[in-house]
Amino acid sequence: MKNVIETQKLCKTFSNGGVQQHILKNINLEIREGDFTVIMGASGAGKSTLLYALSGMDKPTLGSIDFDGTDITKLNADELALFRRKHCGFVFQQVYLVDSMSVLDNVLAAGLLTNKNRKEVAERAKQLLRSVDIGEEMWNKFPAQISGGEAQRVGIARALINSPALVFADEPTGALNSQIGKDVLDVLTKCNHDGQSIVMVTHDIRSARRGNRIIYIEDGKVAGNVELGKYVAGDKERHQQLNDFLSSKGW
Amino acid sequence: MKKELLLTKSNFHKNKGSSIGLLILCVVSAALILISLMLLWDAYPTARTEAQRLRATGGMALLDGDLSGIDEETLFDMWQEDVKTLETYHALFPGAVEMPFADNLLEKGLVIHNSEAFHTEMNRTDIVCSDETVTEDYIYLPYQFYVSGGYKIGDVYSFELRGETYSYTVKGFHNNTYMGCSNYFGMLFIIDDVNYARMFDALKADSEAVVVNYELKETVRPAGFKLRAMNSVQAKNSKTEMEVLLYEDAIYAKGVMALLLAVVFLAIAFIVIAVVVLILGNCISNYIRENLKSIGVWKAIGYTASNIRTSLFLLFGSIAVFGGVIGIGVGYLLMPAMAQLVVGQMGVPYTVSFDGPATLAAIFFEVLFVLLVTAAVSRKLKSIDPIVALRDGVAAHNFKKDHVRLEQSALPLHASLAMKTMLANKKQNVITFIASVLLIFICVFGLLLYENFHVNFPINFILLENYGGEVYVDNESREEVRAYLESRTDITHVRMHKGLYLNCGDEDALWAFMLGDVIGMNNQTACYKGRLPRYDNEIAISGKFASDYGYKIGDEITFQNGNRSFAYLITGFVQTTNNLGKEAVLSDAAAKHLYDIDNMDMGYLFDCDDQECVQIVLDDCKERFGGHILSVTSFYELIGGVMSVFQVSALLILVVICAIAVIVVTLILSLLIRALIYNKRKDYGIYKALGYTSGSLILQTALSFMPSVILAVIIGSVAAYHVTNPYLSFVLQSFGLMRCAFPIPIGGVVMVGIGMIVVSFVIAVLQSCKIRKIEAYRMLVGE
Repeated sequence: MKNVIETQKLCKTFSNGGVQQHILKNINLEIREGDFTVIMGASGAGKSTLLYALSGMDKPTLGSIDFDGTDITKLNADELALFRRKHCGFVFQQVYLVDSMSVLDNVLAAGLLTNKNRKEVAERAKQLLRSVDIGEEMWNKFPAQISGGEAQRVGIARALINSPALVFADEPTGALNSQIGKDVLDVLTKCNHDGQSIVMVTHDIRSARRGNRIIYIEDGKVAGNVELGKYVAGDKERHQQLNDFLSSKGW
Repeated sequence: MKKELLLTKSNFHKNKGSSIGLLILCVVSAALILISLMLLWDAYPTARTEAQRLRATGGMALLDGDLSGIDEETLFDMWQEDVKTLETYHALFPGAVEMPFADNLLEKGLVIHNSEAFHTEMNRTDIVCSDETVTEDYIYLPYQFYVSGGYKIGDVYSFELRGETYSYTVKGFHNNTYMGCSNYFGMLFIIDDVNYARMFDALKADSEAVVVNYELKETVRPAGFKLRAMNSVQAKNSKTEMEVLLYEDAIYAKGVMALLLAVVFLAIAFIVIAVVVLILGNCISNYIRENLKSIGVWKAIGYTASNIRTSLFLLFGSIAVFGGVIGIGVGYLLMPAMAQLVVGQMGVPYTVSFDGPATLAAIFFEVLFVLLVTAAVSRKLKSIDPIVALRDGVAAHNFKKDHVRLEQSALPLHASLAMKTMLANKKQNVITFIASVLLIFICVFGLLLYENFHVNFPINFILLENYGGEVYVDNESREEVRAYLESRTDITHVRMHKGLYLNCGDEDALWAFMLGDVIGMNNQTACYKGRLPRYDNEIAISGKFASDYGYKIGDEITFQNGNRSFAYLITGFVQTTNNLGKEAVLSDAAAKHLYDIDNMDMGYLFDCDDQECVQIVLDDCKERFGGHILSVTSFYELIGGVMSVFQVSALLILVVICAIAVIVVTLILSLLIRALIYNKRKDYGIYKALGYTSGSLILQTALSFMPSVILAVIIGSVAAYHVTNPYLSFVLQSFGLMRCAFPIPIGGVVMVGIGMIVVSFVIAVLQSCKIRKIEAYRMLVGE
């Protein structure tokens, strides 16, 4: 399988009141096409920082990120924005839908950035919303009028609208109860099985089980990774393999 | 109080941007209030205080023509019922003379005298500045020639009199109450004794005059004295001509522009204050919204709503006081320029000094308005529960309707999103709309003043009708001249004209325009109410005079001249700012009831295409009729001379208004956009994460304010076009202008509108550039 992302010696340092914090330290990794990659690690390990650096949302301090043949560390803010709209989709823990826009418009606002054909984009948006179980009766509702789980599913539809090379998900179930979280993970898993590459940050083991590849970050470095194969519900052997991996990392 | 001070300090730090914006608005409004009040309370009364200092509170009369039998003793005998004391002296009064003034010719009455003019007991003439090294062939000019006329000490001043050119070195400038203002009777030239003696000998035959300075008894009404004095002199010698200059007339004429400027600035100041009120209200609402969590914390730890409100009063009250103090400083800095304008109009020396009442009033009004708005808007703090505040309030989106659906919108994506932003920020857009309408209004107001007092002065403002020139001819040749003028194909509207006094009882008089063919006047709107007189028993009088004496259209009014008396039917009201608003219009046939106009010298007004054409006609008349032509007037030149003092004011007002408009638009948009970006910072982070560039978000934000600006410009321009004249009429009613109909250049209004849109857009884009600083990542991770 082709690599979508390759990083070389990726570093990120934050300065706070003259004190420097090295969050990412010389990270070299690849994200492969078609994978559901899960980045795990303890709180403060640098998981989210890595995710946002990989997606071009934040700039690393050093190193390079080859995203589909483009070194995105060399792009300026506007070029990164243009890059993101074509290649990346995002699913956030806090969902981040635009409150003053309807559900459908939230998805269209992303889709119309890359495709001017309003009818075509609207059709795809509706199809995606249906595929994440958001029925027509909800399309004209506002985010405050729908549940957290529904909002997150709308967020997934929005992330997929431009058929991105990668969907980046930052703790997508972190703010949801377990049943609704499971529904959201089901949607993401289905997307991955349909061919969508996903990178997800989580510290929840149940969420991590959905990935076929787990990367463990510890103290800003890649401490190890494990290949689990495609997710199959109830596959105990696969669960055990993940548990063993995490145990070996002191989880 | 310590608690409130702590809160105030915290509030200021959190709201630095808004506080500074408000501070600037307070500075602008305080400066405007101070300037208006200083013009009104300090500069405007200068003409009166100077007159009192110069012992000129009585009046001045000028007698010329046949002076036999006229001397000081005789005059006192005739007038002793009315005057306490009087003094006389002889001078030269060659009538109306064209005198160079500010690169133009100013046609005014001219009195020429020598150094004795400085030694009168009453109506003294004061030297404002002089050069004692100039000892011969010199002239003292009125002070207005220095401040508005462009002359300085040492210049050579030349003027033409009876075909002779006289040139003198300017030794200095003087100040006289009745002679020295282009808005009033005339000018006084004081020349050295040697040259005066020479000139007196040459001109005394037809220009010798007796100048009378008088002081009236306390109980005497000046207008009544004027009539009695003129009648008594006529009775003594019917060939003596007489002008009586009244104190109040002189003061009014000198101060009217200062008063007008003050009123105009006050009108602008109130509009700016209205904008301050709007912005302040919005700032406080925003403050409450942005700091809801902090308010919740304060309330939770025991601060009461009134503690928090007091802190707001302290914050905004301090801003008002600081802004007021700085504004007063700015006002005092600008006042010398304003004073220059006022002095230019009045011709009276005036220096800016500290004016306590105006200073205190400016701060008082500023603070009062700010505290009232703070009190009104901050009332909502009382009803905020701490727990609700801690949860950052309840989402207050209106879910009823999604106005711009992206799927259906015909607009491009960014324009559609801009519309969404606009509709989600209705309140801010309403504020922008109202403020823009008000600013467009004051801009059109300034444009009107500029167009009419700088570019094209409407002659009908002072002459009821538009004319190019006038030929004043003796009785012997008047019919010939009339026939000649009517035969020319390059001129139109040849109309007989003479100014006549119409005495109304023993106490007042009107200055009447006697016009031939009144029905054919090219300004049929000269009467703002009723109609112009058509028949010989009809007259139109000024609205101000009518309201002073309670006359209505359809009433009869009786006028006298000597032994003759006639009752006229009032057909309409004319408006005028001249002659203290006491003017009238009647036909030649109507004037015959009181005057023997068939045997009088007569003026013929005419109109033609341009100034050059007028000059050709006037020159032809002088050449063809020689000495029969008593005087000629090109109104283009006359207006150029008279208006030169107004032109600077009109231009300055326009510049000030435009500057204020730009400052206010900048501040409004800065405050509103700043608040918008702050409130929508999360949305901007989301948009950026989705791939929207900073440029597109800046454009969206700027565009979201444009519909309200464009709508305000369209509605404001149309409304201002129709409302400015009525507004001006309202403001100027007390000056005698009852229904203003000043032309407003549509092109100018369109330019102002386009300018406002462009400036607003540029400012909105610049302000929205703060969006660049929003980083999607930091916004989303909550940093």
